[in-house]
Amino acid sequence: MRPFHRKDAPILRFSHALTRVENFLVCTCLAVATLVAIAQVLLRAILNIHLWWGEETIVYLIIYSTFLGAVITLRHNEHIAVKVFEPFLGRIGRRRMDILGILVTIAYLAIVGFFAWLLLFEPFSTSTVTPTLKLPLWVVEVAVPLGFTLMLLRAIEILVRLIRGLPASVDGDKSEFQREEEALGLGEGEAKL
Amino acid sequence: MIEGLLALLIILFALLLTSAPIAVAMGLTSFIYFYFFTTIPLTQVPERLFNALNAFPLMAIPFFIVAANLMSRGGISKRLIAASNALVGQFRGGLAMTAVLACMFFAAISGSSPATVVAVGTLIIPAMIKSGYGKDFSTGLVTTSGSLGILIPPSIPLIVYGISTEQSIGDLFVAGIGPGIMAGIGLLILAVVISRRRKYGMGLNAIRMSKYERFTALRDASLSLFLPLFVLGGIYAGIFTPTEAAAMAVFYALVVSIFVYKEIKLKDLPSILMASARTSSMVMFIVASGILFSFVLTAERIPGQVSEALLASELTPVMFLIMVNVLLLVVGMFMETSSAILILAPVLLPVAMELGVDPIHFGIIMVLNLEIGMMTPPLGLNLFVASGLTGMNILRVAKACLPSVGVLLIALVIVTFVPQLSTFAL
Amino acid sequence: SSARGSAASGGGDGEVYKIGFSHVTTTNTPKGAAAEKFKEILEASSDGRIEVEIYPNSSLYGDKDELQALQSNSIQMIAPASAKFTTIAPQLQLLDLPFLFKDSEDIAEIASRDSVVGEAIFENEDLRAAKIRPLGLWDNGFKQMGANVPIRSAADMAGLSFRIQPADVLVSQFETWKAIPSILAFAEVYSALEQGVINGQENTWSNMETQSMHTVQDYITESNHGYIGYIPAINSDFFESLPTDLQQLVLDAVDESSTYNREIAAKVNEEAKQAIIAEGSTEIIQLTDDERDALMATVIPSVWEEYSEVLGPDIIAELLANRN
Ligand code: NA
Ligand code: NA
Repeated sequence: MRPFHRKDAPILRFSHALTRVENFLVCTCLAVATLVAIAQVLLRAILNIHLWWGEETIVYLIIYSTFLGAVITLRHNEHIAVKVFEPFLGRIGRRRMDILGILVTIAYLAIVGFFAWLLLFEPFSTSTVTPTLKLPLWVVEVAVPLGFTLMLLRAIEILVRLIRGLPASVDGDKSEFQREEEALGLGEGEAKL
Repeated sequence: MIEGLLALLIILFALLLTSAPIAVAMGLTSFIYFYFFTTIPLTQVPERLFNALNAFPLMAIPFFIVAANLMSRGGISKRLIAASNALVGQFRGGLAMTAVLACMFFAAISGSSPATVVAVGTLIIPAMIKSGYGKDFSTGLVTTSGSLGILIPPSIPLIVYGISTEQSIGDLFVAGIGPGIMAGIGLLILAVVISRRRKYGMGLNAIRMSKYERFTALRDASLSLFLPLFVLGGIYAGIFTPTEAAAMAVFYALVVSIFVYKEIKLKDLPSILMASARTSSMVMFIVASGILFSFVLTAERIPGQVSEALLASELTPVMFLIMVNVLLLVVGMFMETSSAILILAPVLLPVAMELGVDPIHFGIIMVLNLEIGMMTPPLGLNLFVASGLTGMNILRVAKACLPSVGVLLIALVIVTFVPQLSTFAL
Repeated sequence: SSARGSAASGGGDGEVYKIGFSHVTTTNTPKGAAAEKFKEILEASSDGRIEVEIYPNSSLYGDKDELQALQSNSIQMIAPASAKFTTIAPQLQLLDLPFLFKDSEDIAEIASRDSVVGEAIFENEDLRAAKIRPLGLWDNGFKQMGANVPIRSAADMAGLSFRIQPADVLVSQFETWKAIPSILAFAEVYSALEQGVINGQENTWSNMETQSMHTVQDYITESNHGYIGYIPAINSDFFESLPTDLQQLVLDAVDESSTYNREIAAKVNEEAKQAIIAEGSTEIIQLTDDERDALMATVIPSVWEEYSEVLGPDIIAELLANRN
């Protein structure tokens, strides 16, 4: 258990609320996209009905689930990085490398996230509508700035944790495997034959 | 032009060395290019990321990931192991053979290598160690066999290759079967040879298993074994596109694990979706950033220029293929599979085609090379997963993988120089 | 490194302007060939003051994003199908009107810059507001009707489902024929025909041949009932940043490449038609003059007038008057 700082309470509450919202949105987008994809094939194969709105709906929902899901992936510190120096570094050296990596990440998320918001105000974003659903383009593009901004918040959270000497991920020091196992939904109960 | 390519690669590698995520390194390199070298508005950077994913064929990736998660949790991997055990468990080294065979079966329904290592390894590595198989041997064998997840179809990297080079994903899937089975047989032979030399035992309860028990195990797994036929057969017969096939794989896995195996309840679905979303976002974010980076290369006309330079140097096809294999093995040490394909396929494929190499065959060569990269440090996804599984450090796992990686290298030579192995069914 | 489209600061005589030209087909199609011709003519006539970089085959931007790229001057020129512009400028559906052109001689006249149709395209306010300047009209060709039953009249199409491009005019056209219009991506048409998801489609000879559509439908009616064209367009800010003499050279180069494109398109379509005939898997149906007139009468003036408001009442009135 990591040390709990009293002054962290409001920010932690915010963080937890945000976590719930992120999880809900990502799961819903992925679930609906999957259901539409299944329905599309079954309806076509069995009833010869073509869901004209299916393809575009699936693509935009998956785009949402990707950019918002990348926030969750970041929260769990699961974005793949090459850690060339890790084997040669001690505990402090590793932490310094991690801090450098997260600083680069923060720079990227802040800059590109900023331009992602501006993208919504480009004339073509407001004037173009999507081919079949006829949604304004900005409605689907907003997944990018939203995802980048939320990732930025999480990246700052990670930076603070690292500076305080805490593990980067909310999962703490769980091994890569434990995370992967969780990510694949393999509970401990099944870890034996 | 070579300066342009070098500048981009130096920036990319410098950013990778900071231990920033690969997706971030590729995105930031692209942003730096847009800012300093073009007059393109900077809002185009997020716009490219958005449009990168605005492609229906890519949607196969999240759906295959959802399907694989349902299969792991829904008892399908367990039954595949039991079936493998029933088939080969009675031989000396039977449990090692079971491990390889189970990886091959799981590879035929999952599109990812780490997922295959986890799904099979979680169950079988502890069992192998308990039965007296060496820890290093067991871990190395499963880590490498699991990498077949991306050679045996379905395969996320083959989808990415198909999209980036406009080749038929269905054809690529079919082309992966021959090399995948051959590599699997190679690993089976290795398993037997080492087990005999070290006097390892047989499979789980293999001595006591009656014919009936074996039959039951196979029958229980038959629904799981039918899945690849359904999915790949559907693509091959032109009934579904790969994306639709992925959706059907989800549907099939849902029905089988909820109604037949009864191992998943509706209340388990959110956590399975959550797990899938984490993996799929990780992959898709890399894919989007890789497409952004390859946009930069195209805008700089680098693929065309590198192709021209290579062609002007009058390489023979054999020299070219050797060069490609060496290059990809080195790249595979440092790069993740999808991003390496997105960056390199557009550069290398035009030359390969000019030299008479079949584009589908070339895709299989690329994927097999990068598959080997999953077992080479510093960046090897299978190493990470296996290291966590066994508590061994990454370098020790990498060393444990050496014999089986050797088998894959032999397979690579055969796959490279015997194109018919990949293209006979096309 | 290339600063594409940058009319780099300074001005003056030695300056080289770069036009990035992105399109989505291979270089051996009527559009791809016209783009290459445009580059050749313009680089020669401008004596090297303009460089044209062509990115063919969706290598830089694809169908879904090239319009945005043009509007933001990320790329300077594109040449999408005219239907692609109709989300921005609905008036461009004029070109989708059934039987707008009788034959290819008609195209140059009816869509010339000073005709009513030409003005609606080349002086279009919506496009101007979006910083898009249309430069010309390149042919893909005339549409023919392919289906799994022989089609000689509107009655033959009743109840059948046809794949169309997303355009309201085309929806009305098929609904007038009591057929079921179904919007599908070009790349999916083949498998949809094969699986019987749709019963037919309308396309140019060369589009049908390259997608092997004829192998999955038994009949093609040579109806020439519609037109598919591309509009080469340039970012207007970029265009205006060019010195006046270079602007004229760009316009001239487009005109010359249009002439070239029209020849190639006619040739390519004729070759595709002959190839389809040679393969023998599809019966080609020729309409008699009476049959074609009858088919025409089902949609003219009704469909034309239905879109009178969107396309411009004056234009429709004048087009109808000119037919008589
Ligand atoms: Na696979
Ligand atoms: Na590696």
